[in-house]
Amino acid sequence: MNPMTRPNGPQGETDEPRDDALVQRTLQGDQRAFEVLVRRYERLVFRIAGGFLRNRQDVEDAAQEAFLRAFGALSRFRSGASFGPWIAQIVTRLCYDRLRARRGREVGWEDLSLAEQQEAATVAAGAASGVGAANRDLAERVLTGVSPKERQILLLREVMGYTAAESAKVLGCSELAARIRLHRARRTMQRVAERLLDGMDSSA
Amino acid sequence: MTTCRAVGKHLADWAALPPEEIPDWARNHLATCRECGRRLGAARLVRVVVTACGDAAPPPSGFADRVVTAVFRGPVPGRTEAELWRTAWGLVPAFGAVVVALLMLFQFSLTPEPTGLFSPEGLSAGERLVLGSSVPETDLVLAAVLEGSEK
Repeated sequence: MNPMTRPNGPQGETDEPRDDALVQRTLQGDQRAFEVLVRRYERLVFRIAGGFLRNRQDVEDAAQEAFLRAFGALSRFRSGASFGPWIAQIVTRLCYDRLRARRGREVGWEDLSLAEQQEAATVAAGAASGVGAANRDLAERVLTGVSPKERQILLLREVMGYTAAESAKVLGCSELAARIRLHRARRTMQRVAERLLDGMDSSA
Repeated sequence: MTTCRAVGKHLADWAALPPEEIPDWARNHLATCRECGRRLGAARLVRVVVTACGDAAPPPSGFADRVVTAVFRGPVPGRTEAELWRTAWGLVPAFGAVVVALLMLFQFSLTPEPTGLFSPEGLSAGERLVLGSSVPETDLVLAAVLEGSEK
């Protein structure tokens, strides 16, 4: 389900309080109201942070900082808006900054562990492979060759299932720019994967 | 070449399929064309990488409690403060208008009022300024003379 339009948000017709009402109550010092907001959006925040950062502790730290930042800026929250896209924007920017600070070089076949090489070879051959720890490690290695900006859009569009318009809103760019960025990101990913597999062929 | 292009169009879709579900014509081509096989392998890898990105672990239990505890250690950013700022910013144009009005008034007060006298600087070449006064009325002259004789 697209988290932008989840039923718990302001668009839903449930009995649960709307996001802006909870924000209002938080600003009046209602601790419980903020807790409801955190519980409502913690999965979304962890999913975004988890898409960017591999280390579990880093993900948790980023998620917590995102909520802290959101709280600090709560008075600027637009009345009638949904908390989801707002917190998504905060956590995306936060993770982007962290990734930018630690961006590594593109990995080659020889940089992969034996398990990762086997996993990559299995995947490339089209043999069924579930999403396991080896896959996640491999994913993290491959993604080091993709810029944080490209990773952002890949995550939002391909993983989170956001539309171009929603992604543009989170990234603070035009819809056209988001589409172009996605196209480039896909091309980069394909190129990085091809180069990695070239290494497999030459080492065979 | 045409087959390579036709295969290329479907790579992203076929990357999600097991090899046996790929159409025969494409499978035959992929078995012989090294470049297309390489691109399909990379597309499969990309797909797995993207899927793995979405496979994030759920938040640990007690995360929300920890966040709320951390958050409410500091002061709550009050709406009243925000509203004050918003009101203050809203008053900026009005303040600007008042300043402009005052400046205009000040500017006019610095300009000397018209004296009713003709300025010789306003004359163009060839023009002459003739100085003269109106003849006082006879009654006024008589009144002045009589007033003086009384003293």
